[in-house]
Amino acid sequence: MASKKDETHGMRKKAKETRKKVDETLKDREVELLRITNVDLESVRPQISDDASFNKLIGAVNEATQRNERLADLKKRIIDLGEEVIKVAKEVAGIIK
Amino acid sequence: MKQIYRLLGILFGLIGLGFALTGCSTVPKEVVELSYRMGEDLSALHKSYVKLVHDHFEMLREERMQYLNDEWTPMYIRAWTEDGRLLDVAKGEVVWSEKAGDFVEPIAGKEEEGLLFTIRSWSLAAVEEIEAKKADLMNPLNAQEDLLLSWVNDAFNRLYRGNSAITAHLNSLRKVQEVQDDALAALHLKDLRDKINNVLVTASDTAKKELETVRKADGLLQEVKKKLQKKTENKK
Repeated sequence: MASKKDETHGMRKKAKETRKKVDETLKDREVELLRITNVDLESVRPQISDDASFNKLIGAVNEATQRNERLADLKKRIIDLGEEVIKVAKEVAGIIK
Repeated sequence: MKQIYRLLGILFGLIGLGFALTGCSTVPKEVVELSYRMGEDLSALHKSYVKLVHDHFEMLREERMQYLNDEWTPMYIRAWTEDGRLLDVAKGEVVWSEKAGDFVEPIAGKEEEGLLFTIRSWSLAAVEEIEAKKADLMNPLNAQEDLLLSWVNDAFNRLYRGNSAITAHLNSLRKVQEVQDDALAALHLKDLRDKINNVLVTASDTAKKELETVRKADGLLQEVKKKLQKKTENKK
């Protein structure tokens, strides 16, 4: 079974020729329209620094952050441990008395 | 027993001193808050930027659509009506024949069928060409908008990444400081850290003042030098 497009192939070919004719007539107007509605992308492109150096900086900061996190964790554990030691020492002292 | 307490005292004293020496600068909680807020503001700015880009392209699309609807399509329909012999078809004089690839006289007894087929083919072809023209005018703008938005989004994503890395880092400094504060408070040394900081701030202010005095003196010295040079040259 032929599709609608197959059935109308000849007519569509003719319509395309008409389009070419109209495009030719409006050529100057269209060139002007495309010029005024065009965007110079490069002029509005965000000029950001290169990815490699940015990623390097991010990597260094993240590494330092992780170091700080570990340090804070370690210090907290030492303090908790110290408190426990004092508690045990007090208990031991109580028992010894 | 006293010895145990003494040892513990020395141990905590050393830890406290270590904390005090390594943490002379302070990170106020507001700096983390500020950094976090900057992230939120960035998001608002991003949305506004994307809308601005979209609105601009929408305006350009409207301009092209206006040309399509008000100039191109009416001219095309007029030309196609003529080339597609719509009036002759409407009068029943000709019908389109795919077999012949041209307009032919209607077959007797099948005039209505031929008319319907021709009108349908004519309209389908017209709609297809108008849609194709629309795509030709709009697709480049849509592609440009997509590309620009992808650049903008990439740039903002980098700002988000950078800002969140800074926020996380400031937060980690804050955590370290809080732990230090707890330890110093337990050892009654927090005041000592604050005092050290105050002394450093005062020292920094004093250094700034002294630097200005030195700069002034340097300027004066340069002036005297110039005057002496002039006098020497005059004598020669």
